Amino acid sequence: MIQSVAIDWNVIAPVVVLVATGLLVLVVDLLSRSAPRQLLYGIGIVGSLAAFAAMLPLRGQELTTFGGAFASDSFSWPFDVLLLLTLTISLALSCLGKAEDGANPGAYAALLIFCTIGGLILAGATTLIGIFLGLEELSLALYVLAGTGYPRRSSQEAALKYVLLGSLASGFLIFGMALLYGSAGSISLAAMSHAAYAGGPLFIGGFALFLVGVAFKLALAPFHLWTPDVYEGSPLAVTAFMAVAVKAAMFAVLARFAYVVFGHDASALVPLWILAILSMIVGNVGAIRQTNLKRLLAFSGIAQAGYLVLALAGVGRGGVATLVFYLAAYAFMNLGAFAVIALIGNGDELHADLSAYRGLAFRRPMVAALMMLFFLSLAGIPATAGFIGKVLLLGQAMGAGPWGVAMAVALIVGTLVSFYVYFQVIWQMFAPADAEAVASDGNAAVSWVAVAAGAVGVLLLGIVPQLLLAHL
Amino acid sequence: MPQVPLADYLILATVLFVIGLVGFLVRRNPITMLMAIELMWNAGNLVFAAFARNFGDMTGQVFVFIVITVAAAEAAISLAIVVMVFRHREDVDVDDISVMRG
Repeated sequence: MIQSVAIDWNVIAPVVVLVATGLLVLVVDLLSRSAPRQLLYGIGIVGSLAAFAAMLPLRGQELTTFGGAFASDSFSWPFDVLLLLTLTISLALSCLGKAEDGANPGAYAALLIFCTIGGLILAGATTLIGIFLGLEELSLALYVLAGTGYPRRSSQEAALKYVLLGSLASGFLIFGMALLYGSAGSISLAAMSHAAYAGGPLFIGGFALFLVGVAFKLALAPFHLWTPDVYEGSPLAVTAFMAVAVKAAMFAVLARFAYVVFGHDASALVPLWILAILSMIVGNVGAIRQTNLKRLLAFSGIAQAGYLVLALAGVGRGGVATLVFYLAAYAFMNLGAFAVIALIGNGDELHADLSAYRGLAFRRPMVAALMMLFFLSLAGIPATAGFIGKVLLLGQAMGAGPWGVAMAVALIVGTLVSFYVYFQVIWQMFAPADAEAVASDGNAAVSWVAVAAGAVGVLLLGIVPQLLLAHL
Repeated sequence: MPQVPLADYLILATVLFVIGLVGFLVRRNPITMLMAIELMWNAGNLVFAAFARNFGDMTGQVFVFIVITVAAAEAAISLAIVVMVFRHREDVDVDDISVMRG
């Protein structure tokens, strides 16, 4: 007998709005080949804001649909907001004069939107099918986006490396999911918690392979090798999206998995703690020698992914609030830094090079001050969002047994190393400019909006964190 | 009709998975590497189908269909990317594709 599955359209309204927006962008692009790309990206931004409006009534509600396979609850809501924020800023940065979009703005905007849909599905998925579909929707679109700067060799290289290693990671994920299904007899995460309680080789093997797949997407060491090349090669706006949206969506999955499956006993998560400590070391040490800001932010992102795992330490109370807070801080400071790179070069890739920042403090003091703010926040200096986030993470980890303490120590040591990395960038801005410094006089209004959004976020979360914490 | 025990399916799937992984690691042609990845994905499919049959549960089989569909999309995208790279150079060998270092 075929059972009908009732679909509650309210629950998936944000996804529906984004799907409609993506299709609308494609149709508009098809009908008027001469439409300026700003129009297409503008439609995308309006759609993203409309999806946010559709999310407002869902706030604080615990709803599921598709027979419980997709949830819109207080857990997924903040991740969805971060995803839509990232989409909006990435589309805004794509409007800039020299931004790369593969000379096909319709497909480019639609792919960014479809990526975000994958992220929304991931944040709400409560079964393995949802996780797999969301992840693949996110990844497949990003493989193409990584290559949209394709006359540039590095962009082609980024796309090829990403698709090969990403598919390999998906292979681990599928095999792991199959074993998890075998151990639990069901694909729902709730059923898996019984299998986790019972243990057994099937569950342990399945979880290990699943974790490899997830760690790859999160760029946790030692599965991070693709990250610097893909971040460097992808167009600037895509890199900004990748850095923030993929981390937000994947942490939503990891956190839901940890809380639902290992809520009663976190001892099986030790491999994750080890990956976190490795990431903090590899990310911060790897960033030291970088001279390309996109590459530097890639290594920084590896370290920050390691920090974020601390929020899950011991799967304790308040972990999700800490995770969301640090992810929000991470989103504001990274999007802000990428927006500054886009601002001074009008979207040009050349300005990802550290040499473009020599003497910036004298040429453009306002821009340099904002860049300094974002890097101080990445380093975790008081009065910035990064500082409060790290304090919350330390508090979370210290209460979580010996592994928590080990991770807390790694965070402190990592932060000390990262001071050198981030102050190097700030130092460059105060160094005297050399004769062949590239011009950095971009001044587009749209990039100023993105920079301002990042700066306001970093300062507000840094000075009055209660604004966000009271709602988590 | 004699039943093939579940363990045999799992052993076969594991062998396929390892062959795929080794193939990915030793081959240097991206198309061959993609074929090796397909082998790994299908090893997962085999495990899903074997457990679905063992449990008498359709979910695993539905999962297989979904994986096959996504694999088709993934193959289309990855081959397109290989073609894009191939157009800009004569030979495709992943060791030569390394403008970026560090």
